[in-house]
Amino acid sequence: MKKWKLNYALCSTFDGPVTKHSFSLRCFPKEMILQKVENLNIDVEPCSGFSRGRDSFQNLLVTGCIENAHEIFQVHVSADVAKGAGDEPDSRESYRLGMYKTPTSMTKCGVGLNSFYEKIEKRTAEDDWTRAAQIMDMIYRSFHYVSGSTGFYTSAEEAWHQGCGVCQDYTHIFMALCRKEKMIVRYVAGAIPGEGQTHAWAQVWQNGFWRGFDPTHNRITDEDYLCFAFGREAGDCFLNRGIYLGSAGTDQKVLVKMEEIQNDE
Amino acid sequence: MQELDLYERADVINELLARYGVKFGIYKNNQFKEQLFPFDAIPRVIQADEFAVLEKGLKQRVNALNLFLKDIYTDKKIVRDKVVPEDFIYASSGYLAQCEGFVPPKGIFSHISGIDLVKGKDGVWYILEDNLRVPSGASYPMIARGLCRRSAPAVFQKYKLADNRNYAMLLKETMDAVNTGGLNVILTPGRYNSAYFEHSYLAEQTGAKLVNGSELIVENDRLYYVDYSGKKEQVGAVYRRISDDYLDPMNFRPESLIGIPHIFDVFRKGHVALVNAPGNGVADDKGIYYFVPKMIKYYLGEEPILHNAPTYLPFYEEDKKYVLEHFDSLVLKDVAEAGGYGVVFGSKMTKEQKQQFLAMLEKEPRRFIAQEVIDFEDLDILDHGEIVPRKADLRAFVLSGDETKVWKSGLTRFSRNPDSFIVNSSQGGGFKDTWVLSQ
Repeated sequence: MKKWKLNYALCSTFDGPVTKHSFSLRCFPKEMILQKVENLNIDVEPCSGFSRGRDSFQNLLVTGCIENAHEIFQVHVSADVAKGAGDEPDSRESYRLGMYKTPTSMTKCGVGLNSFYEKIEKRTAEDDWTRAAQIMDMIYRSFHYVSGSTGFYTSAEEAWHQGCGVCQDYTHIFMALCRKEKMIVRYVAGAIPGEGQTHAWAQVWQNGFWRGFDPTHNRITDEDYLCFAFGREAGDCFLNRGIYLGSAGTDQKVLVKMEEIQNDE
Repeated sequence: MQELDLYERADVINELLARYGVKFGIYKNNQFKEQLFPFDAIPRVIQADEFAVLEKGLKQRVNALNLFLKDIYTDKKIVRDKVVPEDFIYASSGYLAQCEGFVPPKGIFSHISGIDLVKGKDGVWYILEDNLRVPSGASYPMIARGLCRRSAPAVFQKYKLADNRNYAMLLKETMDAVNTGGLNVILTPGRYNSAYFEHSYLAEQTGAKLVNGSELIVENDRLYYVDYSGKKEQVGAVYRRISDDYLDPMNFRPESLIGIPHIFDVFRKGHVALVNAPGNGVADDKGIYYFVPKMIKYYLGEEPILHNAPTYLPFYEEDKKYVLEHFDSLVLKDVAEAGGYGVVFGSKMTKEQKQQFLAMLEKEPRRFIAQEVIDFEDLDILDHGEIVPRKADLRAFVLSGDETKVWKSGLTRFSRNPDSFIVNSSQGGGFKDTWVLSQ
């Protein structure tokens, strides 16, 4: 098991005062069989209190509303996380995971992705994980990473059409193609070591286990990947979401820092 | 003849309905237009013994649909046992992943179900569709009955019929049964909604507060009504007349300005009842309709009392073959459409239209169902003083609270066009009162 110190900071600055600011947060490491979370601390400013709950994917969900006028909204999360290697067990039978097989609005193949799918190597692998690795490799060789080139609501097909995107787009394209072959695949929002943005990848279910595939880096995930939230697509697990009253524009900055805690510390 | 009193006063009743604001609004070409919903004074009459069968069959159907919804969002046994293919669940636009793993108060998802039926010329009632999201229409026969009684009281002394003015009591009972503690409210999108009259009328009749989204707030995992003075009162049940998509911008469409941020989170925590529950669309999808008789057998171990119209799913090869061979005698429906839209008759298509349709059917077989055209009963209506026959259906209302009850009345809608089978108000249809004889 590797041990990590995780810090997540969100700072939204508004051009002018805003009120009735409702927020939903999922920017917390998730407690799982291979991922244990300790010392989780959540600060929201300004805040008169918030509620904790679970969404339908069992992600930790923090919600609240700031009624009074404010110009800055900040969230700070810190936690110690122990992450084990290997595939994440899930004892549910496949019929209970059908929602992860069906294309969603963000993971639906259009003309471009269908055409790409027709051209790629046909399936010969018997198991889904081997095939998923092939698909991941083919996407990695055909799609390009360009920071800021797409938005929160860009679909797989739209990203594919422009030929470049970010980790969310790589993941959606990967999921769209896996779902063409009826694989059970889910979106994961989380973090990887270093300092920067959050990350996204996918997990494919097979025989009671989820294996992570990171198409942005063309690699199978390991203890270096901390999961925050799952869903059928990015839209199910936005790490922060908010609406407010006011005509102000927003500047949002997110900084994630994930450092390994050495065992001898 | 006392009935003549009623028929002669039809114009007065329509004028009164207009004065009370019994209208519905439609958006066409981005314009909002309010229209009267024409009332025909000749009632549909259902005999007591005939209604008793309908009542039993409707209760059975709605109970099975509620069990289906609970199963789909929790155990999914019906999928495991391959009674309903999973494609029909997860590809349905009415399925909401946000509802996974949650059972609403008392396990009821569909509290108010509007079941559309027609009576064939063979005398058999057929279910045409189930409406489990926000079915509207009960207020129209309610208010019409009241006006008819005042206009022609002798008619109602002559016939022994079930009083339909108890709908408000049934609705209140249903809301009270699932209320988690606090007020009952009726949530309306506002006066530009096509059924605004109904929202205000039902609020008045049930004693519930009529509210819009800006009057409800979420605080500390509870929902509150805030009045004009700023006073807050907790809400325990919301009869919401807003579709799932617009109910909560934090959980569904973020651009919704008529919803309440976090109301769905409060619902998921069990601190308020939403009537009807979000996610019900998965059970009233036209594709799922095909499976309802199978659900009744699966969940209740009973034979269905009421029949579906004979329906084919091109999703199954055998059914697709039948549809292609009998195309001209079938009516084809797009499962994603409602309100009489997306309905085409094979016999009325041109050669090009048919070719285009068949190409779509080949590409997206899950998107369509095909049904035999039921030659349903004509009912008499008064058209400029003359009695003429027109096609009519019946929307029956089933209310599920501590027990499932069928309202002894219903909304009978008719087509004003002699050549049309489409009765929807949005397509120019009118309505009648539905009399259920009590003996």
